[in-house]
Amino acid sequence: MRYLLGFHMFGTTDELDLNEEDTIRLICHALIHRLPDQGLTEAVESLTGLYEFYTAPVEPPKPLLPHSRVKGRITGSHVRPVFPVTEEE
Amino acid sequence: MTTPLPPVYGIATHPVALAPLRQGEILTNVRHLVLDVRTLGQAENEYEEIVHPFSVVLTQDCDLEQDHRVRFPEPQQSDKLIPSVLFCEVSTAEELFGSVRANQGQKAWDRIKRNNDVRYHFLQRVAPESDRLREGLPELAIDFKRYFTLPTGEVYCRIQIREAQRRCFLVSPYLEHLSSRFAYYLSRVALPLDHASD
Repeated sequence: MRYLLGFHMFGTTDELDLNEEDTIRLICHALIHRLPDQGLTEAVESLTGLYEFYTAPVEPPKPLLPHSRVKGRITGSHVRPVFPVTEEE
Repeated sequence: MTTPLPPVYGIATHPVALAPLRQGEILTNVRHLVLDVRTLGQAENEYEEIVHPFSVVLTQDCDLEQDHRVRFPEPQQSDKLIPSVLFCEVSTAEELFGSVRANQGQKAWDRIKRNNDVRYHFLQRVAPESDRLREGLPELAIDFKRYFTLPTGEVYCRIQIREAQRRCFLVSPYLEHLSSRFAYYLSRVALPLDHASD
């Protein structure tokens, strides 16, 4: 099954005046149009992921909790314990 | 004429904090504070001070160097700053292996000092000329299960006030031998059962 891809441009001039985003969309349309059938499943999966990522609302960053200072005191000091090897492992 | 032995240790690069810590550097008298969790949430927390007579740095050398560049003279905002330094506790070999050496004979001792036991690492003594304090260090032993971290700024501060002492560092390939054995120990895989044998 093949489709014919066409675009209708509004305006009063014969010249194409496309911004960067529209140009990229056109390229994407053309690429998908020419993509062999075996690549379509991967393409739709990738595009679905991209669509979901970029259309999901972005939550504003949560404010960091303010630093707080807590008083402390040292109650003891001792040398770290040693756990001797008692049998060959 | 005897062939000179390959060096195992280099003298610590700087007595204070003007040079970065090195992976494989041995320090003495590193202290760290452990929070008494029972005092959490109270107006005043209590801490126990743990003294490490010997410890060895295991953070990657390049991370330490990059951190030092942006930490001094004043810490800059940078992703190169590392929040903490990874250490392993170090004991004297006598403390850790004394019983094996005394009771299990030469074969068991050879196995340990050749570093054939995956959990432990034996280090030969440090001669006075390789020690920044010119005292030398006894034969040492590392238990890879006994690691700890300290905030990087705190480590340099404790060095700067000459509480913790920089002594020496392992040179290649003894350094890589230690770091790769430590990494291997941390990444070991526990099996539900050993492979069966008929």
